[in-house]
Amino acid sequence: MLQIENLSKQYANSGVYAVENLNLTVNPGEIFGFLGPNGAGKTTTIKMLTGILPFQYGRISVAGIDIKADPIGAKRNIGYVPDSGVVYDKLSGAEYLNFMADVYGVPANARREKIDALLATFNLTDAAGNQIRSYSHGMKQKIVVIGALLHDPKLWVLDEPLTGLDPQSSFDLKNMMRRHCDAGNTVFFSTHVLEVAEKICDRIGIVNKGHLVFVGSMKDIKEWKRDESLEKLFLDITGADPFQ
Amino acid sequence: MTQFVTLLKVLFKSRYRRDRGVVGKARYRSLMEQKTGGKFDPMWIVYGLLGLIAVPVVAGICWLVAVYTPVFAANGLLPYMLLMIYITVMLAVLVFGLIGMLTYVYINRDAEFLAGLPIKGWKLFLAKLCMVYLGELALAAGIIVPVGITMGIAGGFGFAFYVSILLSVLFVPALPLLLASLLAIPLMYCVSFFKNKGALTSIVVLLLVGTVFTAYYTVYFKFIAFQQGGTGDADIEAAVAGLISGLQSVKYVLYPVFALIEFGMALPTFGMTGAGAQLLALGIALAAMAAVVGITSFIANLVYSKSAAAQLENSSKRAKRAMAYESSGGVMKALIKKEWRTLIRETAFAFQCLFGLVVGPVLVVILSLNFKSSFSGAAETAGELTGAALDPALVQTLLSGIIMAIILMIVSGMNITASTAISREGKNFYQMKTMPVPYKTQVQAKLWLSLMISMPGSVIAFVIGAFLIPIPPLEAVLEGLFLCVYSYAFACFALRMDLMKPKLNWTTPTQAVKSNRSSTAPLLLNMLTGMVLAASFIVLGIFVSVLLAIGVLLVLVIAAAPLLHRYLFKSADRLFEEIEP
Repeated sequence: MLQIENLSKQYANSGVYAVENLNLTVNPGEIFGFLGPNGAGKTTTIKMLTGILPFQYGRISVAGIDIKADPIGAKRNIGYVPDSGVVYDKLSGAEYLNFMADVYGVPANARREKIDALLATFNLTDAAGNQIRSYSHGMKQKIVVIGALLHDPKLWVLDEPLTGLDPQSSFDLKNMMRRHCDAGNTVFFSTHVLEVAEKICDRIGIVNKGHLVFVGSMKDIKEWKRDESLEKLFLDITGADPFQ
Repeated sequence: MTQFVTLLKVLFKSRYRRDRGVVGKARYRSLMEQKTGGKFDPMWIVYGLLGLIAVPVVAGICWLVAVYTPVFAANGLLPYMLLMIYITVMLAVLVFGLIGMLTYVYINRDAEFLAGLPIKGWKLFLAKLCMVYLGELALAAGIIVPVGITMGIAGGFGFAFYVSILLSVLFVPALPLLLASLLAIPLMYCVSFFKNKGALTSIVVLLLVGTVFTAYYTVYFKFIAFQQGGTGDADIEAAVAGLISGLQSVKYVLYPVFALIEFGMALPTFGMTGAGAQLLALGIALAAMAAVVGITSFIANLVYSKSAAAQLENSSKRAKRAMAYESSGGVMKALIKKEWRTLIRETAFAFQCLFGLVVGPVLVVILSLNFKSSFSGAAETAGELTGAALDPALVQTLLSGIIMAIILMIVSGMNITASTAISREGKNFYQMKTMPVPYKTQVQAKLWLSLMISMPGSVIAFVIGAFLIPIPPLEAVLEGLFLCVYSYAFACFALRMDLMKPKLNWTTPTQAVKSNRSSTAPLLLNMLTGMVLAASFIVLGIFVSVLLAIGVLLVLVIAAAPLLHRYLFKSADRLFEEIEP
């Protein structure tokens, strides 16, 4: 579903690689957790695979479509939820969702059912007519999530999706991610919450200083590190001193 | 006091510090170092051009003041002339200050952050009010200082006059700003009942601007017509007498300001004369100003606290609306709809983008009527003096040229919809890159929105002018076509400028449109181009023929439009791709 080959991005004239020679394949039906310390290159990688940032070297293909050769085709298969929760806050929730449905080509007759279902799931039905600027941070995050799911994307990319969500909504979102993958789709998300990654991810990748240093499942971790936790592995790999 | 000063410093830096930030930083720096080898900021070119335009305008105003000061002084009307100038500044501050109050003080994104600080509410409010005041102070100083110095020299006034000018620079913007902070209260209360608060606020502010401009220019031209004596209006003397009488009444309402004039010009105060009268006038001015500042600050601070609390509580009791499932009928329409909604619902954007649309037709009506009278009067006088009648076609050509200049410079030129099309996205820009919509389509949508504002504005203003002057039908059609094609060409150019270096990292909407080279440079260039084109039209129209003049302009814009279209769209994808939010 997602194939990244030799991906590298260098900031202009600085000689510093934000991401270097990253190779990764994420299969359909997988929830893939993307972990790393601050500044490791997680968000940069996510922004490249969603088409926000250009990259100099390598190849990214989504559902078999090269993002450079056919960016529109690739983007149609992606639903992206950023970490910032930034959204057109002068629009009402309804206007924003209708806009997303329009640009992603969700037919008018199908959108009512989808929007209603998603709003009900996230308890936003009553607030949908209000301007997004009146929403709390969590509500803004939810409306962005709904907007990203309207078109049933094959690849769902989320950057720190659980930040700002209440426990019920977090639980619902995790369930939704699982159901999305069970339907043959893929979820690619970054998080700092290792417990969440441990619980719901089929595989995880750990990036550090622009390099992908580990890819595998929890079973692989346990076999490699003999029953150590993800947290211990993470700290070992990223060289962080837990007592510093 | 320390807290207040610290907060003021932070707000000042946040508002006025140049953006050295994230967007395109590496590329920008590399471009600068490669091309210039140093740290020269091209913004200085823009400032230089601004200065080049501002200097003759200010010089012209000072010349007028120098000419009329002895005339008004001889009639005992000089204090009222200065009061008129102060009122002009106050009106400008009232309009722009109202927007500043609404968008920076009462309704602002930093309410949550500031509320969490251990700083009392009244200090927060005063600090924000000071920030708006500083902006208006610059506007007031730019007008009052040169005019005041000129009047002081022409009128032979002493040291006290210049002190009064200095004090008036501080006081004159304060009064209308405080009035704006009060006016914003009922405005906010009224719009709170409606669904689209932002849009309604924008419309109300624009109507207010239109009304103020209409009233101001009507009075101004009545005054000028009296001086020239060429209007043929039998009631003009009575109108001017009424104006003076009105100003005499107004002076009591604006007594703190008039007291400054009495102090500066050593006028009698409450029957007293001499140094005692001057000191009394100064004392009254300072005390009255302090009282006004204190009372208004107290009231406005109460409103600010409630407004901030309402913002923080996200109160939307009145705003529950039914859900609508509406397809826009296509991606392009959806994009344009989104663009329009986000523009009209943000007062700062709506004001900047629609200002020309409102003010342009108003100016066309007023200037058409007044210049038409003036030129007709001059033609009659010239005819009497020379024995030969002045060609009416000459008058018509002059008027057409003036109308054209107004439309090009104000309706088209001041419409920054295109020149801030990308910048207005701000932190939402990432969505433009993740949508499965070709970048060219998105650029097209932004271009269409800009044209939907500038073209009707140009056409409406022109039709009004063509009707009032009047302009023969064939010429009117060709001129109208010229204005439309010009709007298209300018919009393409302006949008390309913004694509090259958008300002995305803004925290207040005003930052996106004001301290933004993409909006300033095309505006200046358009003003220059507009002046040159209008002047060329007048010259060619007078010395050759009007049809030829229009023909030449039309050929120029028809040749330029496809070139600028290509200039925009050829690189749109690449430039879009290179923007890194």
